[in-house]
Amino acid sequence: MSTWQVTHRLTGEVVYAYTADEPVEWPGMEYATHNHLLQVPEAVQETTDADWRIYVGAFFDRFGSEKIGILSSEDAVVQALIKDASVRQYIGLKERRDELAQMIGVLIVKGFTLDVTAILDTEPTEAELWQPSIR
Amino acid sequence: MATVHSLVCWGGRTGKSVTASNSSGLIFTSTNHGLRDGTGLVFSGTTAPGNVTFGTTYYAKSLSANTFAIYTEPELTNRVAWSSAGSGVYAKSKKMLDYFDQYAGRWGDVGSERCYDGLASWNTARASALPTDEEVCEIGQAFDDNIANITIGIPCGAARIETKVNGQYTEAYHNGAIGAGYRVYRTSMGNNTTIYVTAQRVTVDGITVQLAAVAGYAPNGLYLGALGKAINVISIGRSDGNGTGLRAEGQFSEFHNCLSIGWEKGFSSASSYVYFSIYNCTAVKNTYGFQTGSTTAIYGKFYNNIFVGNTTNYYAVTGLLASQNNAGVSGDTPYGTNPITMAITDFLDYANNDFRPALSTSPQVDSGVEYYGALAYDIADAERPNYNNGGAEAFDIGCYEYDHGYGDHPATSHISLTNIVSGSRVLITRDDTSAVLYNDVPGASLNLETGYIGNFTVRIRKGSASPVYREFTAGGTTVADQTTSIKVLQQLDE
Repeated sequence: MSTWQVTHRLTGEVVYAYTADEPVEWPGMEYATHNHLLQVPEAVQETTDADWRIYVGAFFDRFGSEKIGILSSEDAVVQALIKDASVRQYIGLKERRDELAQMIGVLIVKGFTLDVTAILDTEPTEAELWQPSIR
Repeated sequence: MATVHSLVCWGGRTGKSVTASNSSGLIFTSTNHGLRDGTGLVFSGTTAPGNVTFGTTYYAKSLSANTFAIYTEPELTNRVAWSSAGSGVYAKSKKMLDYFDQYAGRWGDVGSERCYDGLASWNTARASALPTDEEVCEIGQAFDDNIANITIGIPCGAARIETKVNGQYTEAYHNGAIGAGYRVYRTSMGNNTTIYVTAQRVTVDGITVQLAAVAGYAPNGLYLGALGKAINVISIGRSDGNGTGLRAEGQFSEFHNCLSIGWEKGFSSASSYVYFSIYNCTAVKNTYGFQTGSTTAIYGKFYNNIFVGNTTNYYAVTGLLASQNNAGVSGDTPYGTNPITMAITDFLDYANNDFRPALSTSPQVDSGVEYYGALAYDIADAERPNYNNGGAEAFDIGCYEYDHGYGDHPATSHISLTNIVSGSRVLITRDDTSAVLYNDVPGASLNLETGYIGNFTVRIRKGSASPVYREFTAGGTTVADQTTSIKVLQQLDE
């Protein structure tokens, strides 16, 4: 349902608001003297997939003390994972979560101590957030 | 500076436009009407439907989300039969009309009262609030307020959204019961927050925010702005591992006695430096009891909370401010010092969403601590700590206090006597039963605390040693939470 704001045409004063599918010409708030204005919800900054895209370097930083060991690993599978991540502009923590969880799972199997939840579900900081205009 | 009160009741000041038709009797159609069974309605308009008299009270029974029948009595015994549709028909809340009579002028002039049909309308109508004013949205009726999502950014100095009228909880208050009272009930999903408070100093008290079990991107429940408070709020998600129930989005926000169920994150906070506080809250059946958006320190304070029955009760965080006496299950690491271990069996009925303590011996009972700004009541508006008839009393943890079965603490009063001649014996008795409240030699003054409320008599004698005095007699009445003072004027007996 929509929310309607009723204003007095002469004064502009907000005199009422109501919810309805269509505007209702209430007694005392006739269309001749009052505007019934459909209210569009204010734009609100909400979390979207884009808010979970981080720089590749920031993604590796989330490996913490295991980062150097992973990046310097001679294991072919580990190297493949690093290469796959490195060629991307950003790491989409939300939109590619399942794939990333699998990748981290492989690294854990290879002997690295990693916290999947902390790496993937920690909300990015401003410094980590990938900025499409800065490339 | 002024306090501007508004009222929220079903249908608002104008009522709702309804359409009558026939389906095994008279039915009315109104999109997402949100009516609770037994709600009193008064009809008005151009032409009344057959068998309906304008100005008479009828009682609603919901038939579907968009239709309802009416009955002639609140017990819903005699349904009004179909005859004709009428035209231009409006249904108004009888409760609202009664409020207008009882509190005439509280919400503005008669005929133009600031009374709205829900939170979204209030938010829209008060968009021109003054920064020097406090806006109060008084929710006076139990109904389902179907809101997609609203941003509360009213430019007032402070605001309160509460299920109270004139400071007293109304039928809109849930009393700690899930599904009762006024409920922001969201049926249209979307990637946003149901109630997103961006204004500062907004307190939300005694409402329920709930998502319907319908498909779509799962929204969040309630996000608090800076210096905001959520008190006695119940937040219910879809139990599908999505969304955040209650989140400290602005700095210095506080949650007291809140219950969060069925979200990905029962409670959460925005990124670091939020300095939020979570007190005596309960998170159950979420993916995380608490999970933060911060990668560094969270600057959160946790006291007396229960995060139990979630996939992960306590997400590992750093930067806790003083926190203590939080409960988790065995193997958890509850935040802060003095952790308490409990299990879902320590809830009265976890399966059926009754999260009160199971027993007086349950680990959450009397295991809390007091803290600055603690409320003296729980999510069901019961006293905290609960009265134990002389037994040990302490704060419980979680949003529900255990009910020891003795009701509230009895009222107390004080009898103050001054100017007593040293060595006098004082006898104070109840006038109704002659029971003795005091019989001793107090010194020059006496301040007696008593649970007795009523008339009493004071007799003071000093006759056993010189100088002797005549008996002094006086009467008075004790008043709850007040002191009755008597200046004693004894006369020498020469």
